[in-house]
Amino acid sequence: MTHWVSKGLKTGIRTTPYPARPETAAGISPGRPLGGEYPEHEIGSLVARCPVGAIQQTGPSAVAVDYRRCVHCYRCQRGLASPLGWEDGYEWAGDPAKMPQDRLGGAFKRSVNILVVDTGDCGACLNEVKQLNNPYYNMHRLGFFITPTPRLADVLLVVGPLTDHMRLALKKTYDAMATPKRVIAVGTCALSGGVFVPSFACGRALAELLPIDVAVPGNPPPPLAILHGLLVATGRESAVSLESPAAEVGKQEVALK
Amino acid sequence: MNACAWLIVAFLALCGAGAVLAAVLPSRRVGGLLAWAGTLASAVLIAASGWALLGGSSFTLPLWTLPSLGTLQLRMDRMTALFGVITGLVFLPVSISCAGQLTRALGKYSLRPFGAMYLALYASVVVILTAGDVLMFLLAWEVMSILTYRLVNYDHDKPAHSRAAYIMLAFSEAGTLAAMIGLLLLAVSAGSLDFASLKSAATGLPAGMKWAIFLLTFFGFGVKAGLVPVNSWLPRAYTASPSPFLPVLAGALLNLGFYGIMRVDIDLVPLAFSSQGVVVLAIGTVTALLGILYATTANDLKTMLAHSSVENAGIITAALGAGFVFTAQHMPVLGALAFVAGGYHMVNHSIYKSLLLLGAGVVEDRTGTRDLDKLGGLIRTMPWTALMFLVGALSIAALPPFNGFVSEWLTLQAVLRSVELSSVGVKIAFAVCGAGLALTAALAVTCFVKAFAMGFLGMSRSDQARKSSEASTSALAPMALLAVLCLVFGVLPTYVIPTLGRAVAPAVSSTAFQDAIVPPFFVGTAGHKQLPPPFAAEFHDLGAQTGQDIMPGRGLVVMHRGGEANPVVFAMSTSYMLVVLVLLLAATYVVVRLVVARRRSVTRSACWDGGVRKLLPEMTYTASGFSNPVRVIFDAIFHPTTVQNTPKTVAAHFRTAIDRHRREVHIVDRLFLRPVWAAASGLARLLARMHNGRMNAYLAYVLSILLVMLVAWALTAGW
Amino acid sequence: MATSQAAILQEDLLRLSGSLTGHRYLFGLLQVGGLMRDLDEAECQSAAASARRTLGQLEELERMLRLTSTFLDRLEEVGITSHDGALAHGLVGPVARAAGIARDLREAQPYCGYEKFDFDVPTENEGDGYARLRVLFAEARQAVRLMEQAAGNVPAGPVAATAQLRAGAALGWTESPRGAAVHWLRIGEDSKVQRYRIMPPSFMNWHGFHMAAEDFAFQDFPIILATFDLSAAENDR
Repeated sequence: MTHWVSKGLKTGIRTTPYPARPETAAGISPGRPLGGEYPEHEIGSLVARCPVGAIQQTGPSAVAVDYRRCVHCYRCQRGLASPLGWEDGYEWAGDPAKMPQDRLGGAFKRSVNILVVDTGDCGACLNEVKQLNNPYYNMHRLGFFITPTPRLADVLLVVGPLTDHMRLALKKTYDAMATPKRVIAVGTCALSGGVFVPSFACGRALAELLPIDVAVPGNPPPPLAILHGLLVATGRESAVSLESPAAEVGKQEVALK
Repeated sequence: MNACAWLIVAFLALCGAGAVLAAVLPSRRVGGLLAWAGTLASAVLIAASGWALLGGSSFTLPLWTLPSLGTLQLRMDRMTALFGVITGLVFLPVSISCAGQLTRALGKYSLRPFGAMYLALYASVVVILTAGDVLMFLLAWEVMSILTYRLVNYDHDKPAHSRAAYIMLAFSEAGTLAAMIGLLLLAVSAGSLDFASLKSAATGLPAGMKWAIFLLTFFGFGVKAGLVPVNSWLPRAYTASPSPFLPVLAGALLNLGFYGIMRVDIDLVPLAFSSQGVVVLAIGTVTALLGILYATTANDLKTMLAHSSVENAGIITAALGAGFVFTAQHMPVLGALAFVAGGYHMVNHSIYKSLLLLGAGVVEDRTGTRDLDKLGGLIRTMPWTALMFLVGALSIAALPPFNGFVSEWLTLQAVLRSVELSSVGVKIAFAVCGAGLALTAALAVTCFVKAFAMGFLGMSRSDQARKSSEASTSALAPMALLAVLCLVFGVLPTYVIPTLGRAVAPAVSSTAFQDAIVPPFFVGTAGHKQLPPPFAAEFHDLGAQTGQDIMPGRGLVVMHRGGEANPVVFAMSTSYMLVVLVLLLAATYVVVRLVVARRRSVTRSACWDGGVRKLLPEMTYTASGFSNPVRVIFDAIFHPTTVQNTPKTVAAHFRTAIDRHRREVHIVDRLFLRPVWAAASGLARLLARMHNGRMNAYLAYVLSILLVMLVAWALTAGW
Repeated sequence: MATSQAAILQEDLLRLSGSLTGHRYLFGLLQVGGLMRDLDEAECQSAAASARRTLGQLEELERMLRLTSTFLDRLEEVGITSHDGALAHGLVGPVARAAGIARDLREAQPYCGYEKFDFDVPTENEGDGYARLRVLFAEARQAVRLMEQAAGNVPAGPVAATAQLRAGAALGWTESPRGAAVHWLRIGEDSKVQRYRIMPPSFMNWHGFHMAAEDFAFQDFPIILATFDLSAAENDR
């Protein structure tokens, strides 16, 4: 038995310093494209190259990226003469409903029960959620706990495109949660259907069924982005825009078509 | 002849008239006749017995004098009165329920013999209880045995029923034979047949004779009482018996075995050796344990209730055994406590077992099945029956504020008092048996949680359960009466215990125990040996005297305090418990409704089912699954003889179904009945060799016997 | 305790994938005809070295687990699949290899140049949970062996060929971590995909799972399920 204890002591502390200080290790995030200036004559091919239509032309030589659709296929980076700008961050959580910061209430600031529901994802988002409590990220130290039952859950964390088979189960789960409750949609598939739409088997986005409080885009969003989303939900971090360049203050974000 | 005697005669006349009427009325009217006649007769019986029990009046009524056999007489004393009250309390609701249930259960047979035999059985039971001499007792006993056999076998179309009833008859006759030999041994020593002279002769008997009488009558009456190892007939007969008759079998006829045991071992030949008491205690504990184990793993409602009756019989016997030991060790107070516990449990068992069996009868009537794996969800279709069954289940699981709690508590406390005994061996026996009884109590809770939950709660597992409907008033009213009795006997033990105490007083030949178990309201000033003033003052401060001005009787606390050498106290009050329970529930309700609900909103949504589309009955827990851990843990006792799992496959690999076959033989059958049967058969086979059909051999037998007799005569006469 | 150590290794490997290819789960790396980005030799060698370091820690974890009797109690002789049962139900992957069926598509029907590499197919015979675990550990060793051989032998040249879509049908297969995955495709005259059929490894293994779960206690069920590593999504094909 003692060799486990000494092994643990030898391993030391691996936990990320986030959110107190930024995390700088390699391979923690896939990064995402940046909208902005782009050569005018290549905009057409750029927009056509994105398989999910996340890039839109907003001006004669400007493009905007809708993170609710971006699936990290890198086609705007690789195989192009002028690759799109790229940002290597992980604080991605957005705030589609524009709710006030302290949304769950003071009691939940440092202690939240999360129920994770997989509505048919490919497994990547779910795996990133599973990494949330490994020694590197350790969400328990921030007060986030996973619960298997909706009766005890405060936050519903949904991954995956809303497949028809899971619609009823998800609705029942949401109804079985007691107020106050919040919904976090994790992953591009939950926000817009990702690569799976249009399809006979799933809906377009979670927003069809449930009101979303925090949206964490990404395919999959790295664990740090999901942590950022949870911190936004409890009011400890501020949300960022779901588009690039960020929508102006007061202007509604471009609705999904 | 006092009023009590007249009432008994009136009772017998009523039963007789009823039986005659039942033989002439058309079949469909018999149910109603039974209801009326049974109710009237029970009322008379309860009045007579209650008068004798509470008022103390007794009588001896000589009937006929037979040459050289003595006088046949009827006699009433407190012990008989106690059993009379119990019998009346059981027959009353069962007769009422006969009005509706009888035609539905046994409609395909003519009901006239049923009616006649039922009332004749009732009469014979009371004659057994009031018999004053051995001959009357045995005559009535035989009549009762035969009538029981006929009534159990009433639904004789099924061969299994006839087989079960025949086994019951065989055991019953064997038991009667043993008991008869025991009683006749005693009668030979006394030179007369009536109980009074038997009792006076018993004091001078040698120890060997006392042991012989004790063993013969204990196991002889133990057949009727359902004790190990002579209770193989009980589960079979209960399952085969028609539902309207079953509560009588379990509630009234089971007690006759205890009447026999108590009459012989308390009244006629009081047990003088503590080892005899230990034997009774041990047999009781083993009976209780085996009974509850088989009850927990049974899926058929009737079989489960049968094994549960065995368990309760075991608890009663264990309490009686403890009483015998304490009395033999000259501790009258504790002996009385144990006997009161046994008597109380007998009363309680009769009440709640009748209630449960009436409920099971209603369930079988409305759904057509008794299998717990096919029932479920009945609380929605028959809510009142479910409520009554719940009261019965809570009582038998010994949960306050119902009656089972009081008798179970008293029994365990009596066994715990073994600390005051002196002999180490007896103390160890008490400790082991106490542990066994505690295990039995725990398993009883499991068993009845399973019975109620699988039968009434959850989803309906079959169409029959889904389409059932509520029982009729004539079936619900008797159950309601019994349920109310369960509550009353549970909340007012301080009135029942003194009454029972007076019934068992002759056993302990002392009346000092009255104050020792139900002390008077703690007025504090008087004090006495058991309750010195400072002690009483403490309880006074705790509120133990609440109600002294409005309630008649002694007090509301059941308490015992050991002597000065061992001043250990145990106390409880179910009356206060009920009051506190009601207050807590009311307070919770008030707080939630008025205080909390104002600040919060309430949303109603469906029960959380894991998000599945549709909950199917196949997804719910089954009765077999619930009791499987018990089956696995006690596998050494169940010891199935065959366990076969045959898979059905397609192409030898893809399993489509599994055929499970499991055969069990009851442990008592395995260890007792089958070896005895094998030995008897072996002996018979040996003796059968004598019958070889040859005339020469038979002549040789005659000649050799003649020679042997001549030689023996010569030897004894010559010298 | 062991779960945390294993979680550390998993995160290390995810970060390795992320720093090597840009995405933790290797998204955006493949296209029809080859890879979307090139890797130079230094990157490959450093990836193989990192993998070797992680393997060292994994082997230490394996050594420690072998000595932990409470862990082995849950796995040894639990969830047994017999050799004949595995053959009859067509099990694939580490589950089959633990039951004695030594079949690995990289060796039996090599693709993508696997015939040039030197590696073993670890097989065990007991078919219980511990055998499956040993197979998985052994495969990790073989994987690192393959990575080191590949890192040292990357041929020069383009990483993608221009794909010409022709009408017709094609069959492709790989040995995925869960077992053999087979894909069949038909392309029509209009260069669009007409039919696509997948035979995922978990789809085959689900049908044989009941064999392993029978005759064991209720509490063993999640452990046996975990050793089978089945994906429900692979039934949705």
